[in-house]
Amino acid sequence: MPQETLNQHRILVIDDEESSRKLARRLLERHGYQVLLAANGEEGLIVAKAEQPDCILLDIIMPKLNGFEVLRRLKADPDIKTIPVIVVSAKGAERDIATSFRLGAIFHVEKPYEIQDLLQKITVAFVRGTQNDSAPPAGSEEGEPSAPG
Amino acid sequence: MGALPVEDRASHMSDALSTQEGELRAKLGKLEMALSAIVDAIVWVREDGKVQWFNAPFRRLVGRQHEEILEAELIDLLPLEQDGRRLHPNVHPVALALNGKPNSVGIYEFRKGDQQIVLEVLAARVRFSKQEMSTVVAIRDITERKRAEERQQRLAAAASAAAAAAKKRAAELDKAYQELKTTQGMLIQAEKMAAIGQLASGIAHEVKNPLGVIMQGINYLELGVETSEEQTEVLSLIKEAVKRADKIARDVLNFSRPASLELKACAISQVLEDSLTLVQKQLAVKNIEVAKEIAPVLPVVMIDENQMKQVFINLIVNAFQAMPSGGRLSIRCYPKPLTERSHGIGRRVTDFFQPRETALVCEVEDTGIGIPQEKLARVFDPFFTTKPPGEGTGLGLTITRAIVDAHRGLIAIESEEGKGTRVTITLPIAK
Repeated sequence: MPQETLNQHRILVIDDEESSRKLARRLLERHGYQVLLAANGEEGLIVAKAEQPDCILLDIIMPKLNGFEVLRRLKADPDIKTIPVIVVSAKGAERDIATSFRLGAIFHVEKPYEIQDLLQKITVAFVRGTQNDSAPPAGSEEGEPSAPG
Repeated sequence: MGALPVEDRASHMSDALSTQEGELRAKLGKLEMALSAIVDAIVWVREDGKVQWFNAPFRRLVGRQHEEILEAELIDLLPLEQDGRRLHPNVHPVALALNGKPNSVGIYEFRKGDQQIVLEVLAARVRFSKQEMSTVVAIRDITERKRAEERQQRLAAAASAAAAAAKKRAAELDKAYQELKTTQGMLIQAEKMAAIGQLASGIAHEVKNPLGVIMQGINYLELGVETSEEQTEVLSLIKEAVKRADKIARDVLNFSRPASLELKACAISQVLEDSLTLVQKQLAVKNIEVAKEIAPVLPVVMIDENQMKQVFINLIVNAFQAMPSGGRLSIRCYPKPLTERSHGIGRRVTDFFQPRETALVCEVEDTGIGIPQEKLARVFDPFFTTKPPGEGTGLGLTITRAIVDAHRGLIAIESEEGKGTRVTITLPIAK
């Protein structure tokens, strides 16, 4: 059972690893969030568009559509481009972090992470998300060569 | 015996004499034959220097008729030369013998027809009887022997020259071989590193994902209301292990990532200072004296400040860890003209420095436990560590060297067990 129901924010977790998805759901629900899950990039884009979550946690190393490509498509779609995206990945090189930000992510969290760290960033994401509901400058059309995981 | 008539006696004596004479002649004839049979020319002269007797080889040597030789002056018959110049009659060996020198031996040249030959001439005084003194001269043609000797000398000289050349060439080859071996070693090392890097970065990414799951799991369990103190401790131990595994994975990725440098003109002293401060804050340093010998004026270097900081942090941490019961950390920094060729200093394309170039040298030296010689060569190898299990990933110096290499610099390590370790970094100066 959710620990509390004060927080009705909905978070979409896009991650190809099942155990990671399941634990993310349990942890975030324990902190009062509603959690939506997607097992790959295509599914993530569909759920995002259909459910309009308040925040997206996005893995990068995924088969077929990798996280950077998903991020670019999210930011290219007027319906969902304002949803704050936090990249959560095993990739943590400066180059990867720079790519995340250039494509419009609000944070880049490297796995493994402590949940407290992620929760703080989620909180900040909501604040930012409500502040500029209009649109982040998605100047990502030229695109980053989507680095395969 | 009965008395014989005088005539008879005379006739008898005459017969005896002629028999004796015949015997003597026969003996003399044999002697002459014997003397002529030997190869050496033999001649004897009277006190007046004229030829009294000679053998066949002598006749052949001087190339004259029998009558021309007998009673001729030997010195005229046998004009000798030395070093291409005619010998003065006074110092002719025959003249020396005639003047009383009991023995004289010498080597001379002699013109026989149109050829120059070499003679060994031996002249000896002989007393045939109370009244009769004579000089016997033995002459041997040693042209062949001399030539053989000269040939041998030339051969020996040529052989020794060849040997010297071969030795020199061997030394050059050996040097070239050593250089090649070093270069090959470096190439193999570079290739090995690249392969390990690729493999390792793949593994590291794969490892970080499950580490993420474990960390999420720990975080989840930490939320449990009924977690006992013991369980909390176990969880925190697991968390520490995850962090350590993550550190290894990050280190692997750090060193396997092609280092792209952001070069800026920097004052190295500030980078050193910052690195030292950072390490001192992080490590509880006990009884360690820090001595800084930074030259007052240092040339500017083009470096990636963050990466170079990483280098010095690694070295300073290593130094501190090598001195668990205290000691002295020396940090030196000075410009140095490179005078000698050595590893990395030379005119080959693989060399980073040219002799006579001035470089910036940074040394980090401790008075710690040191590294055994057999391990020293391996300290830059990935995953090689001299630290206790859990304290080092074996990647610190690997990364350090990769960064220094990327700056086209050199890194060298010297160590003595029980005395300490010194790491020297040589960096190019901004032009």
